[in-house]
Amino acid sequence: MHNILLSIDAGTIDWSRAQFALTAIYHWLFVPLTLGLAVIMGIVETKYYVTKDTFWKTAAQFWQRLFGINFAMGVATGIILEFEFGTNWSNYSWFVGDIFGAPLAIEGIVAFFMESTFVAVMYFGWNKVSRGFHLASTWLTGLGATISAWWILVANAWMQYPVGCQFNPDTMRNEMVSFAEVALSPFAVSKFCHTVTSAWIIGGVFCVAVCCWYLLKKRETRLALESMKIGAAVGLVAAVLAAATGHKSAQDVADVQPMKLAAMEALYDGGNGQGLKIVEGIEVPYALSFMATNDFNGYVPGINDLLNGYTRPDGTQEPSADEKIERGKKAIAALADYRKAKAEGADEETVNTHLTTLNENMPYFGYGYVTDKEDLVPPVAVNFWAFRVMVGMGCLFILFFAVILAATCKFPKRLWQKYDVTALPAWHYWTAIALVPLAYIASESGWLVAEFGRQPWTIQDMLPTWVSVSDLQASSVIITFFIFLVLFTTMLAVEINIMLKQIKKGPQS
Amino acid sequence: MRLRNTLATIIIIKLIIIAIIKLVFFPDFLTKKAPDDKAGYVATQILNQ
Repeated sequence: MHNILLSIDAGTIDWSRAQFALTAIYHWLFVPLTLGLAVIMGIVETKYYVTKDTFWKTAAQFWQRLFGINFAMGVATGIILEFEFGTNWSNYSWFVGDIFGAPLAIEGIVAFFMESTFVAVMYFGWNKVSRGFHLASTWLTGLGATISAWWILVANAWMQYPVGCQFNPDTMRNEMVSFAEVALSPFAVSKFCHTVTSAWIIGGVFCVAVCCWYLLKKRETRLALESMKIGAAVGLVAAVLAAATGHKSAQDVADVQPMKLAAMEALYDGGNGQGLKIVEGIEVPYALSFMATNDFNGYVPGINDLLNGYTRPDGTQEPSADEKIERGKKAIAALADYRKAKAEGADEETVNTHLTTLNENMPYFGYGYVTDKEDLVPPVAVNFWAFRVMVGMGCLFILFFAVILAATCKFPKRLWQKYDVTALPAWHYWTAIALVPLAYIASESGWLVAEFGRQPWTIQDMLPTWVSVSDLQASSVIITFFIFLVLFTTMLAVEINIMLKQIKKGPQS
Repeated sequence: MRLRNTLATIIIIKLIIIAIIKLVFFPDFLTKKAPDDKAGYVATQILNQ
């Protein structure tokens, strides 16, 4: 790690990165289940509203109880994540100004308050409000959680694809020039669709696993069968949508973060008609080009192309890393000269000259901090394998949900009529239960691809991680890393314990 | 009722721990500075002047 900030040692940077990664990974254990169970409990309560059968009311209350446990346990990690931007990444937080703060503020004020308000009605409103109002509250709780995810992902997408902003050298902040560009960035839309559908998969897998446990124990059979149909249907739709939105996400990455795509594929020398590697040595011909460009013969640059510069299909030239580094250094020098000239009361022409140089080179500002172009290459092995785990598991889940749905709905009848879903050999149920941790591994792998793939940037092309970090003592970050590790692990153990107790008690508890 | 109390207690304990960690380990660099000083501080950090 090249650190040119003399007052901040490398330990602070790496431990701050590790601390943020730790918090984000733990937070993502709670969030997708909240988003996934929100859909399932909404559908179950809708069944109650339509049929007026108290079985569905009991079932809805059961899933809502599990949702509530997960929601309560996840709150703290989310709060810590937001605080860490200020505590560990204060240079970044100031530099991004209100662009990053706005989506987080909207998330906190609008979405989280909406979620918290209606979650109270959902829990305490049974027999106190009408069935219709209660149903609306349940769906609005889920909608609030989903809108919450939207704003967080808008903030994350802006870091990957900074749009709608202009840098102000006087305040040292990026200022928002278009809220719509930030809020409706195509990168944010794709990221939201892919992330939320992947969360629904986890909800589906969790629901099916709980149902399989009941079938294994030969209890709560009706709840298990009916909920399993819903969980499998939600999961199947989500898994197919996740594949489609993943394709769109890959195209966005190819457009704005080609180095991430090259790292995901361990593609060093690009070209037209590139194949997608299943593993090293086995590939699907032309599939990478199609994934990245929607054209089987499309051009995909490799890592070496991106470092050395290449000619795009439209004939324009992509500068080499060395050229970008040179222009980045010019931008940093121009910013320093501009601020010095202003402070010394220099004439307007001198100030404007520095400002013009800064603006011309600002798109490459972050490259000015890079001393070795190899630092621009993200960890290839992590990206390559995390991507394969995510996609491989995603394909497995499409098959898994399709089989579960077909078996529980007995469709086609001729194929399934001999099978009694409630009396299968135990290993069938255990297999479904074992898929829960695999679903989390797949989902976390997706985030590993997204976040490792954008290294070394905190903000793509604008600010590398080692410039973003706070001037903290490395010891403070190391100590708090381990405090958080213990805290989060304890919280996770407590959640799993409470969740298992509630499942064992069953819907009548 | 026991479940609600357990979850509420856990949330409160977590928030207290977070507040203590913030006060002890993470000094506030910017809050007490005037807006121009804040920009100057970050400029010093980013430009390594």
